[in-house]
Formats: sequence, C-alpha cells, structure tokens
Amino acid sequence: MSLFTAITRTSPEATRPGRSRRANAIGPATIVSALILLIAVLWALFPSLFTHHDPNDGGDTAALLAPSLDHWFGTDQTGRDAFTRVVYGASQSLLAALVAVGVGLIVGTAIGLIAGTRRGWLDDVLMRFIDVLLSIPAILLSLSIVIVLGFGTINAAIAVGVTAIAQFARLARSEAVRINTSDFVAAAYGSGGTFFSVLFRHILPNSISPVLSLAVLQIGSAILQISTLGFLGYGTPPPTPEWGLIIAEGRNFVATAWWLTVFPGLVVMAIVLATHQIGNTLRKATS
Amino acid sequence: MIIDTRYLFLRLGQALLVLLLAFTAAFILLSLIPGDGVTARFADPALGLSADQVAEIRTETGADEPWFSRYLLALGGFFTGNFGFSVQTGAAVSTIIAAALPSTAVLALSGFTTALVLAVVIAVLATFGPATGPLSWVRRVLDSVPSLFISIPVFWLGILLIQVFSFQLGVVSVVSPGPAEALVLPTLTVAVPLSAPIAQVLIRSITDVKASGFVKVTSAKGASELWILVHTVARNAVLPGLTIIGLVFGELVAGAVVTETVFGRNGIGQITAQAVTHRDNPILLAVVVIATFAYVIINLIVDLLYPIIDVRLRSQASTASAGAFRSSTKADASTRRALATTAGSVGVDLGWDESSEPGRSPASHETKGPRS
Repeated sequence: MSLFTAITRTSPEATRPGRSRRANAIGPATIVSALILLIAVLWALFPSLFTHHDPNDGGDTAALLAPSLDHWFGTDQTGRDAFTRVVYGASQSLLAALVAVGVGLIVGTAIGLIAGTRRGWLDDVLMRFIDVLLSIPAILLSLSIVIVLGFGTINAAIAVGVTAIAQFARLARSEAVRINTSDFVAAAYGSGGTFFSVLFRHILPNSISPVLSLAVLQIGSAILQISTLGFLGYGTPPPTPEWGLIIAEGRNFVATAWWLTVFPGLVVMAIVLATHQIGNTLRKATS
Repeated sequence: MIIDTRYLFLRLGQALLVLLLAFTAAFILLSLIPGDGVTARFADPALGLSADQVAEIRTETGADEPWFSRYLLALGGFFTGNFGFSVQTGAAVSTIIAAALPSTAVLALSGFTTALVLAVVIAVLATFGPATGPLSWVRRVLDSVPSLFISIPVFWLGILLIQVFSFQLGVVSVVSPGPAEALVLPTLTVAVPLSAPIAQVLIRSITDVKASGFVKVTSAKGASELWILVHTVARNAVLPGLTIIGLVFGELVAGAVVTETVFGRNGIGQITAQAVTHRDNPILLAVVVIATFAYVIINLIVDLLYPIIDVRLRSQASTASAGAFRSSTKADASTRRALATTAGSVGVDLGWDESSEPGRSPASHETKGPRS
C-alpha cells in the first residue's frame, strides 16, 4: 500500500470516541500545510517565478526600506530585497534538509533493518552504538561533526543528519523485528532465501512506510537545526542566502529594521509547522 | 527495599558503559581524526618557536604518544578534572569551563523552571479549560500551542524578544541591565521551546487518565473538576511528565548554546559556539563529555525514581532485562504508547523501540525465525 492510499484509509483511531477531534481526517490544517510546502518547493525549484529582484545585488535600491508593495519584506543594508533572499534561500535550506533526512533515513534504516533481521551479537553492537548517539545532546553531536568536516551547506546537513540516525534505526529495527516473526519470512527462508534477499524483498518493503512518514516528520526539525547552524555561522557562507544566515544578518539591525528578522523567521516557522502537520497526518495513517 | 539491588546495578552498569562509549566516540571524532592540535598551534611561525621547542612541547603534552596512551591519558584526565588545554588561548579547559558554568547553570535552572510552569499551565487549561461556551476556544488554541512552540527557531525567538521588549517597548534595558533583568529574556527564550514537548506529553497523559474508568467513577460520585485534577489526574500524569523531563535535557543544551550566543551571555553555550568557530577541539570535547555525563545521569535518576514514585512498578523493576532501555515503564503500556507517539510528533526521541520487548525477552529467542 502506498503512502498516499494510506492517508485516505480511515484509521481505527478515528472511529474511537473521545480521541482527539481533528487528528485523523485530512482537515483544513493539512490542506493549508500542503499548500505551504508546495510553495516552498516551488521557491526552491523556480525562484525567479516569484520575484524579479536579484538575491545578491540590490542595485541602486535604497538600503533598509520598510516593507512595501514592491518590497514585501523590505530591503536590507545593501538594498537587497529581503523577500527575494528568502525565496532564493529556499533551495539551500530545503536541499540541506533533504540531505540531512536522507543521511538519517539511509544510514539509520540500514542499521535498524540489519540489527532487527540479523539479531544476535550484531544487533547488540549496533544498538549500543545507537544508544551512544542518543546519549550525546543533538546540538553537540552536530557541532562535533561540523568541526571535523568543516563549515558549509552540505557538511552542516550531514551533521544534522547524523543526529537523526538513531530515531530511524530504532523505528526500522522495531519494524524488522515485527516482520521477521511473520510466516511469510519463515517461508522465504525455508524456500532458500538468503539474508540479503529476504532483507530486500520482504523486510524492507514491509517496513518502509512508517519509516518514510518519520522522514517527513524529520524534515521540519532538520530545517530548524540547519537554520540554527546557519545562524551560528557554520552553514552556507555569505552572500548565498540561507534562512538561518538571513536572520543572523538581519540581527544587526533589530533596532532599525525589524522586518529583516521578523519575516524570514515567520516563513521558517510556517514551513516547519506545515511539515509537522503533514508528517503527523502521514504517521497516523501509516501506524 | 524499594529498588531492587540487581536492577540498580544493571542500570548503573549500563549507564557507565554508554558513558565510556560516548567518551570514546567523542575522542575519536574530536581528538584522533583532526590529528595534531599542538603542532597546529605552536608551529605557527608568528610565535617564533624553534623546531626543538615545539618538539619539547609535544613531548610534554603527550602529543607524541601512540593513540591508545593518548586515549587513556585523556580518559584519566576526565576523571581527575584535567580536560587539557584550549588550542585558541592555551588556558586550561577546566578553568574556562568552571568560569562559565555558573552563568549557564542559572540560565538552565530558570529556563527549565519556567518551561515546567508554562507546560503545566498549558496542559491543564488545554484539558480542563471550558469545553463548551464562549470560552471554549481557549482549550482548542492551547491544545495546538505545543506544536507551534516546537516550530519556532530558538535564535529567532531570542531576537524577536529583544526587538519587542528592549527596542519597541523599552521594558528591558539592552545597555546595562541588572543581573535579574538580564535573565528575563534569555529565560523565556530557553523556556518556550522547552515547554512544548513537556506540555504535549502532559496533555496526552491527562487526556488518557481522564478517560479511564476510575476517574469516571470519581466523577459519578460527585467530585468536582478541580478535585479530580488535584487528587486523581495530577498524581497519575506525573510519571510520563517525569520521563519527558529527563529527555528534554538535550533541548536545554541546544537552548543554552543558541540563547547565550544571541544575548551575548558568557556561558558554556557561548564557549561551545566559539570553540567551533575557532576549531578549538579540546573545549568542544570537554563540553560534549560533560553534557553527555549530565544527560545520562539525569535519565538514570529518573529511571530509578519510577519505582519510588509508582508502587505498581516495584515488582516489575526487579525483572527488567538489561537490554530493554527504560524497561521499568513496561507496566503502564498505555502511558508508554501515549508518550512515544506524542514525543515523536514533537521531535523528541524517547529512546524506546516500541515493539522491542517481545524481541528482547528470552522467550522470543526460541521462537525466532530461521535465518541464513
């Protein structure tokens, strides 16, 4: 069953009385969230469709203009249009978030599936490794990775991705353990299946949908963590726009140009909120 | 005896193992992979040290030792409070951290307390607020507050608070605030995102407890909402709350790093950020090890508190297996489920695999399917 047919299926939770009122159906919140994400993706793919300004060159536009019809989010200290920088920043921030979730998803799922299918000593070793990842506070883990890899968009993304490995590994392992005990897996082994053939043909396809809905849920927190690293100066180097960096630059003008921090922050918040909403809808549908 | 001794030692041993492994991982990452911090610092021609002098420093600091003795040296150092020397300033890392710790401890404590109060207020109003009538929106709005709070970039919140309270309203002075005044905005910055997972878990567990049979009976006997809240719900909702409190420590660390940077407070968080900027690995290593130590210890205490708080868990705790992390909460399956789902939705990993217990128990090893 694909993720999308899964959403439309009525979950058993929905029919139980006394459960949260609007948690399960595709409500207006989910539709608005989907629209927000669609816009963010379009910003990342085709930024020039949404703005005719240049993100890195303000030309002869006056600096620190207040928001107006021509400059929705105002202009910054060099006359660059703040809205344009947010639109162009989407590609950096969303790409980084996808890389981060990709690292967590691929490495974490691989560890979890192997541990949960193989069991035995390998399971113990891999899960102790996951315990260690969990015992180091996430921000310190990502800072440790970033200090080793060096600064930059992709390095910051990998650093954030490493902090997500543990969650994917635990979920994938519990799915693998559950599926491993079912009859069709025993039958697959019995009819001559090898460890890897069973892993790829049976365990992986059957455990992938909860793992993928966790991935959607993780995109929001990845965006937040990456913008934090960007804000601290370890992500995308200037002048390339990235959401955390945009807010860090606007911070120098809090007294005179509030729009340089308020609007980009609201955009980040709306997108993170939207991914959480979509992720939760998916997760409820797949669990 | 309230806590079974075997369980106590098992959990203690497990915590020590995780700490040792975490130290090893951090040491490999921050000390072995980057190579030689001493040469990087002292071979700088601007310092005017001869090759012999550099070699002497290398011998003195143990940089020439093989990696395993360096590892043992560093491990021994952490037991005796000797964390090495900063690459940037050459000062002892222990001195730098000791100087910054009080400020961060104050911020963490005030932020955490505020978050707790905020979370309880949100959770109680979201579950015991007026269900009908003109004020019913309060309940609906507060129910979605946690997911809003978790989506706010912390650094942006800090900047926003400075903007509103210092520049627009002029309530908090930016130039020379008193010690208490300087703490208000950073505390709020730390508290808001921290309160979200706590509130979310409390809302879910209060909702679950309210729906259970014994509360309905109490209510049918004529107890008021307030009486139910204080006497039955609060007592039963405290356990999931305790778990999440242990787990939000990571958020607290992240909050401190960002908040201290935004507000320019001298503390562990700012030192950490500066250490990364200047590639000062020894400082980062010390911060990682100390924070991990605190995190593991806090969660160990929370785990050991369960059987003391909840009588029902005492018999369970003694049969807990070493492999099942936090297995003492097994008894309350519905609580576990509520915690796992709500915490997951706000991005907190409880460190449980939901279906690990059947796999972990000895019985299932016999029923395990064949494998290649």
